[in-house]
Amino acid sequence: MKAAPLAVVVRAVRELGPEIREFTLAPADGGRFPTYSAGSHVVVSLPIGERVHRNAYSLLGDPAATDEWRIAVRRQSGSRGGSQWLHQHARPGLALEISWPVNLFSLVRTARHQILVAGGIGITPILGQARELARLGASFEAHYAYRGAANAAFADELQALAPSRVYLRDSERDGHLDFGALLARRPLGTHVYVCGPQSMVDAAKIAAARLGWPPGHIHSEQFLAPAGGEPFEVEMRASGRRFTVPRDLSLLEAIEAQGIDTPSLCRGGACGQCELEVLEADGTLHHHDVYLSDAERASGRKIMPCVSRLEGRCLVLNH
Amino acid sequence: MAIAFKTQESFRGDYSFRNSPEAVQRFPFPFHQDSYMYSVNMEPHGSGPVGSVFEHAFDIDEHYLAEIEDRRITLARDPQRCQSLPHMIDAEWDVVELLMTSLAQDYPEHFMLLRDGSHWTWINRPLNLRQSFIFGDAATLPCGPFEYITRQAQGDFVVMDQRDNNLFADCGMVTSQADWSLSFDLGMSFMEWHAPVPLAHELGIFERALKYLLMLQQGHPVRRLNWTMTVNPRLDTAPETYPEWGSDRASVTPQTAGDKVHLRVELQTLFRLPRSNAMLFGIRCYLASLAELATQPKWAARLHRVLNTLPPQLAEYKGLVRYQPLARQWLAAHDDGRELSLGTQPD
Amino acid sequence: MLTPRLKSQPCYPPMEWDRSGRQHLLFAAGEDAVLARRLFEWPPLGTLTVLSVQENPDAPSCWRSGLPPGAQQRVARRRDAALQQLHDLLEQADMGARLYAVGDEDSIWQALRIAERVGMGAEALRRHRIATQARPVYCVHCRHTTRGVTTNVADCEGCGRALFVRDHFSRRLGAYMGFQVDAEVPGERPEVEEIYR
Repeated sequence: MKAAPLAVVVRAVRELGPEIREFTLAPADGGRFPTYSAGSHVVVSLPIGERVHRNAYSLLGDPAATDEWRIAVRRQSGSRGGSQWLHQHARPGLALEISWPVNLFSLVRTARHQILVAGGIGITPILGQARELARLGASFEAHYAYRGAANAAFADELQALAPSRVYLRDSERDGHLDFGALLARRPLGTHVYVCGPQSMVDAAKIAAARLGWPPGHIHSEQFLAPAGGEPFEVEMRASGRRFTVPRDLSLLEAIEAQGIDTPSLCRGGACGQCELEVLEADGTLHHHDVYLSDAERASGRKIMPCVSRLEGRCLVLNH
Repeated sequence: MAIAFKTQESFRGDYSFRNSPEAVQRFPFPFHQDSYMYSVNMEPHGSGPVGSVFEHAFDIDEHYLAEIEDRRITLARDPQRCQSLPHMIDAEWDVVELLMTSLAQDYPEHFMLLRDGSHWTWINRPLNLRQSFIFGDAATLPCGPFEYITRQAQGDFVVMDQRDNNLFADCGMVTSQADWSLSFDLGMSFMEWHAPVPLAHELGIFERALKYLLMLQQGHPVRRLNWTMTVNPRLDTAPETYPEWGSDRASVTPQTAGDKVHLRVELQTLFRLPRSNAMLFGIRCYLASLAELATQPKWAARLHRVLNTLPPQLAEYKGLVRYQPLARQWLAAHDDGRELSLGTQPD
Repeated sequence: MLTPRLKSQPCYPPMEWDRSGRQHLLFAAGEDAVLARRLFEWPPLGTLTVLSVQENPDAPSCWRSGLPPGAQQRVARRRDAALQQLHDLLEQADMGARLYAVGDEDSIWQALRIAERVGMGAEALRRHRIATQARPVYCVHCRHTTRGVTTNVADCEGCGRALFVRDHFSRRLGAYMGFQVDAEVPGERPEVEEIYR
């Protein structure tokens, strides 16, 4: 079921580094936001040109502050333009539409010790989690790796939350985080949360496996940006509608642009909500999600339209 | 509009519980057709038809005072009907906020909530309570936050922790259950606590339900109806007290079936909780005797047909077997075999 | 009230090492020479500690012979002492640890409860039931757990009620549910059968 969006307005913009900006959002009607759990994100609708792109951003502020929400965006070159657009256009007073908070990166409340690891802009959900753990008086430590002191966004805020439990690392100066050392000899009941570039998440998982950690104790969040690709045709079997998925829109966004109702949630290939059934695929399916099993991908009968595409002529969906 | 609460009604002993005609009219009769099978029958729960049990997030009706008193008695006899594992404290406060704000918003004649930052004052007029407290500080309430507010709401409540792609029943106030034990089931996962339900697992009901619930979002609660039957309008049909009520099942006679045998419908609601990311499972219980149901002719006839065609494993699981023939016999007099309209609304 | 195996009822597939683990802790309450030989034949990488319960430490035990080189061995004469040792070992273990609980159902779940309290999740726990199928039964009326129940109906040691032994199982309590068998019609009971031998 699609959630009714929240109307917000940009209240403030803060430069946090050469490529990083924090945006403070307030309810457009002057009311209050709902509260949320640490690790939650919102999906922001970005009117880029004639199309609407939707990108997910973690809520990094204090959930008790219901008059405003804070997100941070790093300008990525070579992306579909969402971060660029925000950096260029988001000024105080700009009206935007966002989703309700969704949490796909929540803390495990039965853990005996929590290790938070942030790489670069991955600090955004980690900051929220550190705040919650500090409030609960839980046992935790936070590690934040950034490339160059100028990019240490929110380091001060993180440090202030729990001075003795925060470890900062400038990878330019000190090299990459050694997960082998970080995860060794950790007591039973420890959970790890990693948010950062793919290479960092992979390194964490590899080191954990080598040390014998059960996979369920390593949690990660990555916002997979929908990959662009060559345009392809889509036929929606139920309505008979045919249209083209352009280069810079995801399959999901193209379906939505047609006014066709279809479920979605995280929009980043992780939650499974947008799954559609493939009836015919004249070409190769490129799966960029982390949800489908190998068998499901191989079957060619399912696709996650938020991030995956067809390389070929026409895709027929049972919808 | 204020509700006229019944004051001298009991769910034990003399069983003086009775529904007013209005209460029977709004009874959530669950059968859309002449036979019954499980389904993942969840639908959005928001504002429903005015005056119906679905109108508000949490339904309060004429039995409020009597149910609250019955809960008080059950808890006094057995405090372990309310339990909460330590890690659920954030979820407990979520429930306090949800129940207090909903009740104050939906029943302003009966409940009021004043908030000044974290200084809250809760007023419950029917129970003559006024409580000031600091939201988030359990020491400022007379008992645990979850226990405090659920003692003032009708129906059972279970709070589920979401972790490991699963839901765990880690907190509950359970005094009007249809024969399951909180003490035994506390801490179980979704599949584990549903283990005793026959047939449904083979249909994949619980797998689909779990997948759906894991993605439940804040601000978008859902609901479904569940049903069973009870002899006498007894709320406390827990396994713990089975020695007290079990023999009622063997006490039904053709003369007493109409008044003693009750249809017991659970309005189950599910809410994503914001701070804890946990889930509140509300189980609101409605009772109506066969005689009361028969004031709506379609309902008696339909229930007759449902009982005639109920798979034996379901009858066994729901504990109906001993008095099912008597119930069917009594209802048969109200079933002329005519075609009944689909849907649950009375004709 | 006969039911097929419930979803809450634990199953006991043949035990195998979890070779993704690095510290292997085997808790054994009972003999199973075939299992021991099979497990020790091809031990996993990492450390191995075998903690067994043996009333008479002089008697031979499959858990004390044929151990792989480097394996650590501990013996306790009583189960509660063994469980305490298990707790201490787990407090010292790290996230690469795996627990293997071998024994009757009651012993298995007492060991697993300790593991869960220390923070181990289901992924890190394995179990193998041997010897008896006797059940620990939790009386829902008085909340006492009666151990070693082999019959479908058994008397509660706590309150004396005759309990029907269900297949519904609680991992937290490590026991099956029991409720008064003749609450509906006093004296009306099924045939007592020894079905959990």
